[in-house]
Amino acid sequence: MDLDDIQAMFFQECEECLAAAEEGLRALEEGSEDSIDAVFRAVHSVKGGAGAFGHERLVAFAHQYETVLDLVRSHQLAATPDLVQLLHRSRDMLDDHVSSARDGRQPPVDAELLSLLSARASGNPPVAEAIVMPEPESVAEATDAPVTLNFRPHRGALLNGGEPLRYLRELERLGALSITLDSDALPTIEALDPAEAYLAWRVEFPAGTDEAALREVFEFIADDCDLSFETPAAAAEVSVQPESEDEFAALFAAAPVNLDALPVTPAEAPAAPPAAAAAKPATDEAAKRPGAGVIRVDIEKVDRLVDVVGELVIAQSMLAQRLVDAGVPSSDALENLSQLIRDLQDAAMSMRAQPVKAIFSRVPRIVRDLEVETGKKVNLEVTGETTEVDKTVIERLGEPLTHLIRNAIDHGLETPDERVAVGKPPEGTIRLAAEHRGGLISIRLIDDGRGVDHVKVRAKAVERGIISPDAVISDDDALNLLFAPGFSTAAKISNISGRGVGLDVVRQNIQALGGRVSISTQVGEGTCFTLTLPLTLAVLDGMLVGCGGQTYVVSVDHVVDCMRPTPAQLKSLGEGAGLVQVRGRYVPVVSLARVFSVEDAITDPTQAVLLLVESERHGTIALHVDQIIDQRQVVIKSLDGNCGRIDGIAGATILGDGRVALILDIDSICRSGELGSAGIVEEA
Amino acid sequence: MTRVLAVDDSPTIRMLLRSALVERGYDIVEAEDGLAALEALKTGTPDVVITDINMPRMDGFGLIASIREQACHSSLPILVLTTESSPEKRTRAREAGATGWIVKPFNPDKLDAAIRRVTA
Repeated sequence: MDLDDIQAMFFQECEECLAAAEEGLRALEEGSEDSIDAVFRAVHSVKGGAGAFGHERLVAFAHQYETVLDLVRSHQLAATPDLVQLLHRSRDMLDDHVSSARDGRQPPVDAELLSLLSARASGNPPVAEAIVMPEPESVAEATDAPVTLNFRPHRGALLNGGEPLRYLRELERLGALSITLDSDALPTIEALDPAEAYLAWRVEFPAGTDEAALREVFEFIADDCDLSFETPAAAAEVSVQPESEDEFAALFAAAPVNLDALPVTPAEAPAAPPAAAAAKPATDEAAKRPGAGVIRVDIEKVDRLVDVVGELVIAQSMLAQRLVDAGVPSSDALENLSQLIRDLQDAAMSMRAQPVKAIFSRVPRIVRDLEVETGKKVNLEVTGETTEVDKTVIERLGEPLTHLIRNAIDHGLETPDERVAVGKPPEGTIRLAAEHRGGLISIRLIDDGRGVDHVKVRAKAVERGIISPDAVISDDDALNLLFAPGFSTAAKISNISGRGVGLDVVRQNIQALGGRVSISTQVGEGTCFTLTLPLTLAVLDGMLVGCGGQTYVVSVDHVVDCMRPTPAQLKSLGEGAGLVQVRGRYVPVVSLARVFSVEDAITDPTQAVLLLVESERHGTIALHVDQIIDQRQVVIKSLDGNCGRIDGIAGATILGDGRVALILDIDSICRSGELGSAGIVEEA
Repeated sequence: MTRVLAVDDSPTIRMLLRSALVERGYDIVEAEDGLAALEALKTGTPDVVITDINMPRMDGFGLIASIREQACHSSLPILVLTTESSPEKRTRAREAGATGWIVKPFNPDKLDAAIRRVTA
């Protein structure tokens, strides 16, 4: 592993540390005083690693931040709401530092925060550590005279694994010519205290030996021994060499270490005594730390495993098909194999699943930034952070979610004054909730703001030419116009959610993930955006349909109903276009055979099957296919690499008999068949 | 081969230690905090322990005290990873029972020298 790999690992660790710090600060706000420890450790870890890779500005900022955190955890600074705000801002700044270091950009401007932090830190007893400066290497002056070292360890030097023999061996390695023992201080055996140090040594080195290098050998016991050098020319004597027994004894009186009173607890408060450390509720930490049960694996390895397992599923279904074709009766063995492979696939997919916490943890910061920008106060409630989603889904969820939150705060929530005027608390509430719902992930963003007025939305849509003035559409459909391209109810394009990046992009992003987004709202009460996403992007619950001898796959998610129409239900519009009446509504009929120019398909809908499918943007259509074949889970194979994007096709899969079936992109098929939402007429 | 037990809650630091030590011929076992280190000690005694101070569950001082309590490990060389080499830090490290210290961010050669110094 080279340094770049380790640094990449470091940045990943920073993500985790910054999230832990965020969590810790939140817990601190809610009254959990001990959480400051976690925040301190997180910042300490970031600083430690950053130093190794030379990110000086990052280290400098982290150091100042760490100093203040240390003062708080040692109770020298009180965690007032004011201070906690500063700590939050500092965490955000540290986040920025890490990002810029990772992306190779200029570090952020942190002068203001630095001075605020140092103002807090000063006026307190110096617990702060100095920033590590590289120790200057001392240059030895070569002399011609042999160098003699006198070494007398005190009893303190013998403790803690300090072993004079080791020091002497090292001196030997450095070129000692002779070592002479001085045992004059050794008493008789009756008076001997085994823990006491009585011996001294005199070591001779050749001329020119670097004194500094020799001193370094004794670095660890420098305070616990007498070390002196003799060089005939040198006048300097750092020796404390005793001349008499009395001085010798006096030295020991001065030595701080007392064997009996060897402290088990450190002098300062921060580290809890070992007994308490062991007794401290492990559950607390265990809940926050993955702990010993985690290993880090390259995402590529997991992807490869998922791929291979996907192939295994296909191979198994091919085998099953062959056996059926060969007339082999089904057996337990095959059933067992099938079950095992399903289990294996579940296990492989779950490896890629991560808790949504990964993106939810960024939300508090976004909210904080927006509070500042809009001057609104926001109370954020997050639930369901442990809900697991496929990693690829998580990665692509960030942007749409961010946009929705910005929308909610910018447009949804009223200003504190406006809220009070209508009897609401001045602080707006945003709720972010994730949960599993029947094989899908549902993420809801709820605000208690002003809600969306479908009348206004309609009016805007007419103004923008999205629908015609006399179009008759339901309230729900009117709301869906929010997702139309080029739509914006903001009077001016605000910096936050403007720039033409509208809800239509959000919808596109979510759809690209195989999910959908919907809105429900109550004027004056608030709005709820619901994102529904598949648990995984690799496997699909599909309905197999036949058309002209070809097999296609439709996502079961999109299928609302299926029917064989009677002639009375069909209405022709000429030129092959038609409508079918179903449940009081007229729905356009789209012939799959026409879309893909398939020959030999059943042309008469009354002899075929109409599949009612629903898409987000283009309403419902009746897909005309020959027949429904089956419903099963299929492994999605992307065609992007080979063929690029094809209109109407979302991917492909390999069936049990080895044939390829194309997976339909319902959205684009609906679009090709729609007559414009203005054209859908509702029967009373 | 000299066996090192490296204790630090930061995976980055553990990786840096491993990278520096393995290429200098050391054998290295990692632990992410004091408790994990004590577990590791049960399965075999290393020649030297290198430990960070700030760790969850059991910090460096707690670890050193626990190690020193065991008679068989009372003279096991232990080096602490510290961010500076001030007199206060030195005293504190020694009072806690450490044999010596290594300053972070560490220089691999100095790390090597420090280990050799205490494991001769």
